[in-house]
Amino acid sequence: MISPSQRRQGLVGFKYRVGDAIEAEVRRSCRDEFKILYVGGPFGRLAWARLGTLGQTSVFEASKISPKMKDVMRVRAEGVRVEGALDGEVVIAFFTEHRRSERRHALEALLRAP
Amino acid sequence: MSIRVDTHPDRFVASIAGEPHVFHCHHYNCFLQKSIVDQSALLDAKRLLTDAAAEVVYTELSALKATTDTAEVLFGQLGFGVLDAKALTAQGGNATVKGSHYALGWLSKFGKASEPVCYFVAGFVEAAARQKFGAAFQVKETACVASGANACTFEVKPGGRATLPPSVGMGTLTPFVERPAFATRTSVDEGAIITACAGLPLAGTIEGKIDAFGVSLTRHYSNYYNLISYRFDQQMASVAGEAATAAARMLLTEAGQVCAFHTFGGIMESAEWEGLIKPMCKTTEDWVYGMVSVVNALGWGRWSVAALDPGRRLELVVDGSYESNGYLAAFGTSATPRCHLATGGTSGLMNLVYHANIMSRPALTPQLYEKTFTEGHFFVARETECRSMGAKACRFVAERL
Repeated sequence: MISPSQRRQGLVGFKYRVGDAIEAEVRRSCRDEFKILYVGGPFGRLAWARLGTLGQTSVFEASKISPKMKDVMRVRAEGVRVEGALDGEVVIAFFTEHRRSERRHALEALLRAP
Repeated sequence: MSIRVDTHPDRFVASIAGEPHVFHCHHYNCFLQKSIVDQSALLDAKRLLTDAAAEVVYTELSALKATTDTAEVLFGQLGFGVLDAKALTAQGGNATVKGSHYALGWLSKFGKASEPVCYFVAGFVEAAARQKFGAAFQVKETACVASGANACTFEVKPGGRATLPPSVGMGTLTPFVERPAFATRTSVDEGAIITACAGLPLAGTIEGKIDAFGVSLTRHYSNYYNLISYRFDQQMASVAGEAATAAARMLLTEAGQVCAFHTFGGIMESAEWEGLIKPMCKTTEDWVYGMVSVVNALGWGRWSVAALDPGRRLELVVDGSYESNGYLAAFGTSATPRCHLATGGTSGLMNLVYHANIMSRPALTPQLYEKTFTEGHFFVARETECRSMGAKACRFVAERL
Protein backbone atom coordinates (compact mmCIF):
# COMPACT_ATOMS: atom_id res chain seq x y z
CA MET A 1 0.00 0.00 0.00
CA ILE A 2 1.28 3.46 -0.92
CA SER A 3 1.67 5.87 2.00
CA PRO A 4 0.33 9.45 1.78
CA SER A 5 3.94 10.67 1.76
CA GLN A 6 4.80 8.45 -1.22
CA ARG A 7 1.67 9.59 -3.05
CA ARG A 8 2.63 13.22 -2.48
CA GLN A 9 6.13 12.48 -3.71
CA GLY A 10 4.72 11.00 -6.90
CA LEU A 11 2.92 14.26 -7.67
CA VAL A 12 5.94 16.51 -7.12
CA GLY A 13 6.81 18.43 -10.26
CA PHE A 14 3.29 18.16 -11.75
CA LYS A 15 2.22 21.41 -13.42
CA TYR A 16 -1.24 22.57 -14.42
CA ARG A 17 -3.14 25.77 -15.12
CA VAL A 18 -5.60 27.48 -12.81
CA GLY A 19 -7.76 29.72 -14.99
CA ASP A 20 -6.05 31.54 -17.83
CA ALA A 21 -3.29 33.34 -16.00
CA ILE A 22 -2.00 31.14 -13.21
CA GLU A 23 0.38 28.22 -13.47
CA ALA A 24 0.42 25.79 -10.54
CA GLU A 25 3.31 23.48 -9.69
CA VAL A 26 3.31 20.78 -7.02
CA ARG A 27 6.32 20.94 -4.72
CA ARG A 28 7.45 19.14 -1.60
CA SER A 29 7.67 21.34 1.46
CA CYS A 30 10.41 21.16 4.06
CA ARG A 31 7.88 19.63 6.45
CA ASP A 32 6.75 17.05 3.92
CA GLU A 33 3.47 18.88 3.40
CA PHE A 34 1.78 19.08 0.01
CA LYS A 35 2.93 22.41 -1.35
CA ILE A 36 1.68 24.17 -4.46
CA LEU A 37 3.21 27.25 -6.04
CA TYR A 38 0.75 29.43 -7.93
CA VAL A 39 2.63 31.78 -10.26
CA GLY A 40 1.05 34.50 -12.31
CA GLY A 41 -0.12 37.41 -10.21
CA PRO A 42 0.08 40.16 -9.31
CA PHE A 43 -2.09 39.07 -6.41
CA GLY A 44 -3.52 42.35 -5.17
CA ARG A 45 -5.86 43.37 -2.35
CA LEU A 46 -8.90 41.88 -4.03
CA ALA A 47 -7.23 38.50 -4.52
CA TRP A 48 -6.03 38.42 -0.90
CA ALA A 49 -9.46 39.49 0.36
CA ARG A 50 -10.93 36.53 -1.50
CA LEU A 51 -8.27 34.17 -0.15
CA GLY A 52 -8.97 35.55 3.31
CA THR A 53 -12.45 34.04 3.21
CA LEU A 54 -10.77 30.64 3.70
CA GLY A 55 -9.76 31.43 7.26
CA GLN A 56 -7.80 33.95 9.26
CA THR A 57 -5.53 36.47 7.55
CA SER A 58 -2.44 38.00 9.11
CA VAL A 59 -0.49 40.79 7.50
CA PHE A 60 3.13 41.67 8.16
CA GLU A 61 3.18 45.34 7.20
CA ALA A 62 6.66 45.51 5.73
CA SER A 63 5.73 48.51 3.58
CA LYS A 64 5.66 50.55 6.79
CA ILE A 65 9.32 49.64 7.41
CA SER A 66 10.39 50.47 3.88
CA PRO A 67 8.27 51.66 0.96
CA LYS A 68 10.40 49.39 -1.22
CA MET A 69 8.95 46.35 0.56
CA LYS A 70 5.61 44.64 0.05
CA ASP A 71 3.34 43.47 2.85
CA VAL A 72 3.63 39.75 3.56
CA MET A 73 0.25 38.00 3.66
CA ARG A 74 -0.62 34.76 5.39
CA VAL A 75 -3.99 33.01 5.56
CA ARG A 76 -4.45 30.14 7.97
CA ALA A 77 -7.38 27.81 7.73
CA GLU A 78 -8.08 24.25 8.69
CA GLY A 79 -5.88 22.07 6.49
CA VAL A 80 -4.18 24.85 4.57
CA ARG A 81 -1.76 27.76 4.98
CA VAL A 82 -1.48 30.31 2.17
CA GLU A 83 1.41 32.76 1.90
CA GLY A 84 2.55 35.48 -0.44
CA ALA A 85 3.20 39.17 -0.84
CA LEU A 86 0.62 41.85 -1.52
CA ASP A 87 0.92 42.54 -5.27
CA GLY A 88 3.44 39.69 -5.51
CA GLU A 89 3.46 37.24 -8.39
CA VAL A 90 3.41 34.04 -6.34
CA VAL A 91 1.01 32.46 -3.89
CA ILE A 92 2.32 29.47 -1.96
CA ALA A 93 -0.08 27.01 -0.36
CA PHE A 94 0.77 24.28 2.12
CA PHE A 95 -1.86 21.59 2.55
CA THR A 96 -2.12 18.99 5.28
CA GLU A 97 -3.31 15.55 4.19
CA HIS A 98 -6.72 15.84 5.85
CA ARG A 99 -9.27 17.34 3.40
CA ARG A 100 -6.45 18.32 1.04
CA SER A 101 -8.46 17.92 -2.15
CA GLU A 102 -11.42 19.89 -0.81
CA ARG A 103 -9.20 22.74 0.41
CA ARG A 104 -7.25 22.85 -2.85
CA HIS A 105 -10.44 23.11 -4.93
CA ALA A 106 -11.73 25.90 -2.65
CA LEU A 107 -8.44 27.79 -2.92
CA GLU A 108 -8.21 27.43 -6.68
CA ALA A 109 -11.80 28.58 -7.15
CA LEU A 110 -10.87 31.76 -5.30
CA LEU A 111 -7.71 32.22 -7.39
CA ARG A 112 -9.68 31.66 -10.61
CA ALA A 113 -12.32 34.24 -9.76
CA PRO A 114 -12.18 37.35 -11.98
CA MET B 1 5.10 32.65 28.89
CA SER B 2 7.95 33.27 26.49
CA ILE B 3 11.68 33.37 27.08
CA ARG B 4 13.36 36.70 26.37
CA VAL B 5 15.70 36.81 23.39
CA ASP B 6 18.40 39.49 23.63
CA THR B 7 19.53 40.99 20.36
CA HIS B 8 23.00 42.47 19.98
CA PRO B 9 22.73 44.64 16.86
CA ASP B 10 26.36 45.70 17.08
CA ARG B 11 27.45 42.04 16.99
CA PHE B 12 24.78 40.68 14.62
CA VAL B 13 23.95 37.94 17.11
CA ALA B 14 21.08 37.06 19.44
CA SER B 15 21.24 35.29 22.77
CA ILE B 16 19.16 33.81 25.54
CA ALA B 17 20.60 34.11 29.05
CA GLY B 18 24.07 34.68 27.59
CA GLU B 19 23.93 31.74 25.20
CA PRO B 20 24.09 32.67 21.49
CA HIS B 21 21.42 31.27 19.16
CA VAL B 22 21.35 31.07 15.38
CA PHE B 23 18.69 30.08 12.87
CA HIS B 24 19.21 26.89 10.90
CA CYS B 25 16.79 24.58 9.13
CA HIS B 26 16.35 20.82 9.28
CA HIS B 27 18.44 20.23 6.17
CA TYR B 28 21.54 21.49 7.94
CA ASN B 29 20.63 20.03 11.31
CA CYS B 30 19.96 16.56 9.96
CA PHE B 31 22.78 16.50 7.41
CA LEU B 32 25.33 17.62 10.00
CA GLN B 33 24.06 15.02 12.46
CA LYS B 34 24.08 12.27 9.82
CA SER B 35 27.61 13.20 8.74
CA ILE B 36 28.76 12.56 12.30
CA VAL B 37 26.59 9.48 12.95
CA ASP B 38 27.84 7.89 9.72
CA GLN B 39 31.33 7.77 11.29
CA SER B 40 30.10 5.70 14.26
CA ALA B 41 32.59 2.95 13.41
CA LEU B 42 35.36 5.39 14.36
CA LEU B 43 33.84 7.35 17.24
CA ASP B 44 30.95 7.38 19.72
CA ALA B 45 28.87 9.72 17.60
CA LYS B 46 25.63 9.50 19.56
CA ARG B 47 27.37 10.35 22.80
CA LEU B 48 29.19 13.22 21.12
CA LEU B 49 25.88 14.69 19.95
CA THR B 50 23.98 14.19 23.20
CA ASP B 51 26.79 15.32 25.52
CA ALA B 52 27.30 18.59 23.65
CA ALA B 53 23.57 19.33 23.80
CA ALA B 54 23.40 18.62 27.53
CA GLU B 55 26.37 20.93 28.25
CA VAL B 56 25.12 23.91 26.26
CA VAL B 57 21.46 23.60 27.24
CA TYR B 58 22.27 23.06 30.91
CA THR B 59 24.38 26.22 30.96
CA GLU B 60 21.43 28.15 29.57
CA LEU B 61 18.78 26.56 31.79
CA SER B 62 20.94 27.25 34.86
CA ALA B 63 21.32 30.90 33.90
CA LEU B 64 17.56 31.10 33.41
CA LYS B 65 16.98 29.35 36.76
CA ALA B 66 14.60 27.28 34.70
CA THR B 67 11.70 25.23 36.00
CA THR B 68 10.29 22.32 33.98
CA ASP B 69 7.76 24.74 32.52
CA THR B 70 10.54 27.06 31.40
CA ALA B 71 12.42 24.21 29.73
CA GLU B 72 9.27 23.08 27.93
CA VAL B 73 8.45 26.60 26.76
CA LEU B 74 12.03 27.18 25.62
CA PHE B 75 12.05 23.91 23.65
CA GLY B 76 8.94 24.90 21.72
CA GLN B 77 9.99 28.51 21.28
CA LEU B 78 13.22 27.37 19.63
CA GLY B 79 11.24 25.25 17.15
CA PHE B 80 12.20 21.78 18.39
CA GLY B 81 8.62 20.49 18.97
CA VAL B 82 6.47 20.04 22.06
CA LEU B 83 8.28 18.66 25.10
CA ASP B 84 6.47 17.12 28.06
CA ALA B 85 8.88 16.51 30.94
CA LYS B 86 6.37 16.88 33.77
CA ALA B 87 6.43 13.19 34.70
CA LEU B 88 10.13 13.22 35.57
CA THR B 89 11.08 12.65 39.21
CA ALA B 90 14.40 12.49 41.03
CA GLN B 91 14.38 8.78 40.16
CA GLY B 92 13.96 9.54 36.45
CA GLY B 93 11.01 8.48 34.32
CA ASN B 94 9.91 9.28 30.80
CA ALA B 95 9.71 12.51 28.84
CA THR B 96 7.96 12.76 25.48
CA VAL B 97 8.22 15.03 22.47
CA LYS B 98 5.53 15.55 19.85
CA GLY B 99 6.49 16.99 16.49
CA SER B 100 10.22 16.63 17.09
CA HIS B 101 12.13 18.81 14.61
CA TYR B 102 14.89 16.24 14.33
CA ALA B 103 12.59 13.22 13.90
CA LEU B 104 10.33 14.89 11.34
CA GLY B 105 13.31 16.47 9.60
CA TRP B 106 15.06 13.12 9.36
CA LEU B 107 11.93 11.42 8.00
CA SER B 108 11.45 14.14 5.44
CA LYS B 109 15.09 14.21 4.34
CA PHE B 110 16.31 10.63 4.66
CA GLY B 111 13.16 8.50 5.09
CA LYS B 112 12.46 6.03 7.90
CA ALA B 113 15.35 5.56 10.31
CA SER B 114 16.44 2.18 11.67
CA GLU B 115 16.84 3.64 15.16
CA PRO B 116 15.94 6.82 17.11
CA VAL B 117 17.60 10.00 15.84
CA CYS B 118 16.81 12.73 18.41
CA TYR B 119 20.28 12.90 19.99
CA PHE B 120 20.12 16.65 20.55
CA VAL B 121 16.74 16.27 22.24
CA ALA B 122 18.12 13.56 24.55
CA GLY B 123 20.76 16.06 25.67
CA PHE B 124 18.11 18.74 26.16
CA VAL B 125 16.05 16.40 28.35
CA GLU B 126 19.19 15.45 30.31
CA ALA B 127 19.87 19.13 30.95
CA ALA B 128 16.27 19.80 31.98
CA ALA B 129 16.32 16.90 34.47
CA ARG B 130 19.69 17.97 35.86
CA GLN B 131 18.45 21.53 36.28
CA LYS B 132 15.24 20.42 37.99
CA PHE B 133 16.71 17.91 40.44
CA GLY B 134 20.32 19.10 40.78
CA ALA B 135 21.63 15.62 40.01
CA ALA B 136 23.18 13.71 37.11
CA PHE B 137 21.01 11.78 34.64
CA GLN B 138 21.41 9.63 31.57
CA VAL B 139 18.87 9.82 28.78
CA LYS B 140 18.09 7.39 26.00
CA GLU B 141 15.46 7.79 23.31
CA THR B 142 13.46 4.57 23.35
CA ALA B 143 10.88 5.39 20.66
CA CYS B 144 11.18 7.87 17.80
CA VAL B 145 8.83 9.18 15.14
CA ALA B 146 11.67 8.85 12.63
CA SER B 147 11.71 5.09 13.19
CA GLY B 148 7.94 4.65 13.12
CA ALA B 149 6.65 5.58 16.61
CA ASN B 150 3.74 7.96 17.19
CA ALA B 151 5.78 10.15 19.53
CA CYS B 152 9.37 10.38 20.65
CA THR B 153 9.97 8.96 24.14
CA PHE B 154 13.01 9.53 26.30
CA GLU B 155 13.92 7.26 29.21
CA VAL B 156 15.63 9.19 31.99
CA LYS B 157 17.71 7.39 34.64
CA PRO B 158 19.93 8.71 37.44
CA GLY B 159 23.65 8.52 36.65
CA GLY B 160 26.10 9.78 34.08
CA ARG B 161 28.55 12.66 34.30
CA ALA B 162 28.72 14.24 37.76
CA THR B 163 29.40 17.68 36.34
CA LEU B 164 29.22 19.17 32.88
CA PRO B 165 31.76 21.54 31.35
CA PRO B 166 30.09 24.95 31.01
CA SER B 167 29.37 26.39 27.60
CA VAL B 168 31.63 29.23 26.46
CA GLY B 169 28.60 31.49 26.07
CA MET B 170 29.11 34.40 23.68
CA GLY B 171 32.64 33.19 22.95
CA THR B 172 35.64 35.31 22.04
CA LEU B 173 34.46 38.66 20.71
CA THR B 174 36.77 41.12 19.01
CA PRO B 175 36.17 44.51 17.35
CA PHE B 176 34.75 44.39 13.84
CA VAL B 177 36.88 45.58 10.93
CA GLU B 178 35.74 48.52 8.81
CA ARG B 179 33.07 47.41 6.37
CA PRO B 180 34.36 47.10 2.78
CA ALA B 181 33.08 49.69 0.30
CA PHE B 182 31.63 46.92 -1.84
CA ALA B 183 29.23 45.99 0.96
CA THR B 184 26.85 48.82 0.07
CA ARG B 185 27.12 48.82 -3.75
CA THR B 186 23.56 47.63 -4.12
CA SER B 187 20.00 48.85 -4.11
CA VAL B 188 19.23 46.36 -1.33
CA ASP B 189 18.54 48.12 1.97
CA GLU B 190 20.15 45.79 4.51
CA GLY B 191 19.04 47.83 7.53
CA ALA B 192 15.40 47.63 6.49
CA ILE B 193 15.68 43.87 5.89
CA ILE B 194 17.21 43.27 9.31
CA THR B 195 14.51 45.41 10.93
CA ALA B 196 11.80 43.53 9.06
CA CYS B 197 13.24 40.10 9.92
CA ALA B 198 13.37 41.11 13.59
CA GLY B 199 9.66 41.84 13.39
CA LEU B 200 8.71 38.50 11.86
CA PRO B 201 7.09 35.89 14.13
CA LEU B 202 10.23 33.84 14.66
CA ALA B 203 9.22 32.05 17.85
CA GLY B 204 7.81 28.54 17.76
CA THR B 205 4.04 28.12 17.56
CA ILE B 206 1.98 26.12 20.05
CA GLU B 207 3.11 23.09 18.02
CA GLY B 208 6.78 24.00 18.57
CA LYS B 209 7.31 24.97 14.93
CA ILE B 210 8.76 28.19 13.55
CA ASP B 211 6.70 29.18 10.52
CA ALA B 212 8.89 31.56 8.56
CA PHE B 213 10.71 31.67 5.24
CA GLY B 214 8.94 28.50 4.09
CA VAL B 215 11.57 26.25 5.70
CA SER B 216 11.58 24.15 8.86
CA LEU B 217 13.59 26.49 11.07
CA THR B 218 15.06 26.20 14.55
CA ARG B 219 16.64 28.89 16.67
CA HIS B 220 19.45 26.57 17.62
CA TYR B 221 22.45 26.81 19.92
CA SER B 222 25.58 28.21 18.20
CA ASN B 223 27.78 26.43 20.70
CA TYR B 224 26.06 23.10 20.04
CA TYR B 225 27.06 23.33 16.38
CA ASN B 226 30.57 24.37 17.37
CA LEU B 227 31.07 21.63 19.94
CA ILE B 228 29.80 18.81 17.74
CA SER B 229 31.72 20.05 14.69
CA TYR B 230 35.08 20.62 16.36
CA ARG B 231 34.92 17.57 18.65
CA PHE B 232 34.05 15.51 15.56
CA ASP B 233 37.13 16.95 13.85
CA GLN B 234 39.31 16.27 16.92
CA GLN B 235 38.08 12.72 17.42
CA MET B 236 38.45 11.83 13.77
CA ALA B 237 42.03 13.12 13.89
CA SER B 238 42.88 11.21 17.06
CA VAL B 239 41.49 7.86 15.89
CA ALA B 240 42.24 7.92 12.19
CA GLY B 241 44.79 10.65 11.44
CA GLU B 242 45.18 13.21 8.70
CA ALA B 243 43.03 11.61 6.03
CA ALA B 244 40.11 11.30 8.45
CA THR B 245 40.53 14.93 9.50
CA ALA B 246 40.39 16.00 5.86
CA ALA B 247 37.25 13.90 5.38
CA ALA B 248 35.63 15.40 8.49
CA ARG B 249 36.31 18.95 7.27
CA MET B 250 34.93 18.15 3.83
CA LEU B 251 31.76 16.84 5.46
CA LEU B 252 31.43 19.93 7.66
CA THR B 253 31.85 22.19 4.63
CA GLU B 254 29.38 20.14 2.64
CA ALA B 255 26.91 20.58 5.49
CA GLY B 256 27.33 24.32 4.87
CA GLN B 257 26.59 23.80 1.17
CA VAL B 258 23.52 21.75 2.00
CA CYS B 259 22.44 24.54 4.31
CA ALA B 260 22.95 27.19 1.63
CA PHE B 261 21.18 25.21 -1.06
CA HIS B 262 18.11 24.38 1.00
CA THR B 263 17.92 27.19 3.55
CA PHE B 264 19.11 30.08 1.38
CA GLY B 265 17.29 28.56 -1.58
CA GLY B 266 14.13 28.01 0.45
CA ILE B 267 14.29 31.57 1.74
CA MET B 268 14.74 32.92 -1.81
CA GLU B 269 11.56 31.09 -2.85
CA SER B 270 9.56 32.12 0.22
CA ALA B 271 6.74 34.60 0.68
CA GLU B 272 9.02 36.67 2.91
CA TRP B 273 11.60 37.01 0.10
CA GLU B 274 8.81 37.94 -2.32
CA GLY B 275 7.67 40.71 0.03
CA LEU B 276 10.78 41.99 1.77
CA ILE B 277 13.77 41.42 -0.46
CA LYS B 278 12.83 40.74 -4.06
CA PRO B 279 11.22 44.15 -4.60
CA MET B 280 14.64 45.69 -3.86
CA CYS B 281 16.54 43.44 -6.28
CA LYS B 282 17.20 45.22 -9.54
CA THR B 283 20.09 43.04 -10.71
CA THR B 284 21.19 39.44 -10.32
CA GLU B 285 23.95 40.66 -8.01
CA ASP B 286 21.30 42.15 -5.72
CA TRP B 287 20.16 38.60 -5.00
CA VAL B 288 23.59 37.95 -3.48
CA TYR B 289 23.36 41.14 -1.42
CA GLY B 290 19.79 40.34 -0.45
CA MET B 291 20.73 36.93 0.90
CA VAL B 292 23.72 38.38 2.74
CA SER B 293 21.31 40.86 4.36
CA VAL B 294 19.04 38.02 5.49
CA VAL B 295 22.06 36.11 6.84
CA ASN B 296 22.85 39.21 8.88
CA ALA B 297 19.48 38.76 10.58
CA LEU B 298 20.07 35.08 11.39
CA GLY B 299 22.63 35.56 14.17
CA TRP B 300 25.61 34.28 12.18
CA GLY B 301 27.77 37.42 12.64
CA ARG B 302 28.14 40.25 10.12
CA TRP B 303 28.61 39.19 6.52
CA SER B 304 29.80 41.79 4.00
CA VAL B 305 30.36 41.52 0.28
CA ALA B 306 33.99 42.58 -0.20
CA ALA B 307 34.11 41.98 -3.96
CA LEU B 308 31.70 40.55 -6.50
CA ASP B 309 32.64 39.83 -10.09
CA PRO B 310 29.26 38.87 -11.53
CA GLY B 311 29.05 35.20 -12.36
CA ARG B 312 32.72 34.67 -11.60
CA ARG B 313 33.91 35.42 -8.09
CA LEU B 314 32.63 36.44 -4.67
CA GLU B 315 34.71 37.61 -1.74
CA LEU B 316 32.98 37.82 1.62
CA VAL B 317 34.27 39.20 4.90
CA VAL B 318 32.60 37.93 8.05
CA ASP B 319 33.01 39.72 11.35
CA GLY B 320 32.25 37.80 14.51
CA SER B 321 31.28 34.54 12.82
CA TYR B 322 29.67 32.28 15.40
CA GLU B 323 32.07 29.55 14.38
CA SER B 324 35.20 31.59 15.13
CA ASN B 325 33.68 33.10 18.30
CA GLY B 326 33.06 29.61 19.63
CA TYR B 327 36.24 27.98 18.34
CA LEU B 328 38.53 30.60 19.89
CA ALA B 329 36.79 30.39 23.27
CA ALA B 330 36.51 26.60 23.49
CA PHE B 331 39.55 25.37 21.59
CA GLY B 332 41.99 28.31 21.33
CA THR B 333 43.83 29.31 18.17
CA SER B 334 44.06 27.09 15.14
CA ALA B 335 46.61 26.35 12.43
CA THR B 336 43.82 25.96 9.86
CA PRO B 337 40.61 27.81 9.00
CA ARG B 338 37.60 26.77 11.09
CA CYS B 339 34.51 28.37 9.58
CA HIS B 340 33.27 25.36 7.64
CA LEU B 341 29.61 26.35 7.61
CA ALA B 342 30.38 29.80 6.23
CA THR B 343 32.74 28.31 3.62
CA GLY B 344 30.00 26.01 2.34
CA GLY B 345 27.54 28.88 2.58
CA THR B 346 29.70 31.07 0.34
CA SER B 347 29.98 28.54 -2.49
CA GLY B 348 26.35 27.59 -1.99
CA LEU B 349 25.19 31.18 -2.39
CA MET B 350 27.11 31.68 -5.64
CA ASN B 351 25.92 28.34 -7.01
CA LEU B 352 22.30 29.19 -6.23
CA VAL B 353 22.47 32.57 -7.93
CA TYR B 354 24.80 31.95 -10.87
CA HIS B 355 24.61 28.19 -11.46
CA ALA B 356 21.17 26.96 -10.34
CA ASN B 357 19.34 30.13 -11.45
CA ILE B 358 17.39 30.45 -8.20
CA MET B 359 15.60 33.48 -9.68
CA SER B 360 13.57 31.03 -11.82
CA ARG B 361 12.29 29.26 -8.66
CA PRO B 362 13.58 25.75 -9.40
CA ALA B 363 12.39 22.88 -7.19
CA LEU B 364 15.16 22.36 -4.63
CA THR B 365 15.38 18.60 -5.09
CA PRO B 366 18.25 16.22 -4.27
CA GLN B 367 18.75 15.87 -8.04
CA LEU B 368 19.20 19.63 -8.46
CA TYR B 369 21.58 19.68 -5.49
CA GLU B 370 23.70 16.98 -7.10
CA LYS B 371 23.71 18.75 -10.44
CA THR B 372 24.47 22.16 -8.94
CA PHE B 373 27.48 21.04 -6.96
CA THR B 374 29.00 18.52 -9.35
CA GLU B 375 28.23 19.48 -12.93
CA GLY B 376 29.68 22.17 -15.17
CA HIS B 377 31.66 25.11 -13.87
CA PHE B 378 30.22 25.15 -10.38
CA PHE B 379 31.59 27.34 -7.59
CA VAL B 380 33.92 26.16 -4.86
CA ALA B 381 34.92 28.25 -1.84
CA ARG B 382 37.80 28.50 0.58
CA GLU B 383 38.39 30.46 3.74
CA THR B 384 41.49 32.54 3.07
CA GLU B 385 41.68 34.20 6.50
CA CYS B 386 40.17 33.06 9.78
CA ARG B 387 39.96 34.68 13.21
CA SER B 388 40.82 31.34 14.75
CA MET B 389 44.21 31.69 12.99
CA GLY B 390 44.77 35.22 14.24
CA ALA B 391 43.07 37.28 11.52
CA LYS B 392 40.86 40.22 12.49
CA ALA B 393 37.97 38.87 10.43
CA CYS B 394 37.18 35.77 8.40
CA ARG B 395 37.44 36.03 4.62
CA PHE B 396 35.96 33.67 2.03
CA VAL B 397 36.45 33.43 -1.71
CA ALA B 398 34.16 31.54 -4.07
CA GLU B 399 35.27 30.96 -7.65
CA ARG B 400 34.20 28.70 -10.46
CA LEU B 401 36.02 25.40 -10.65
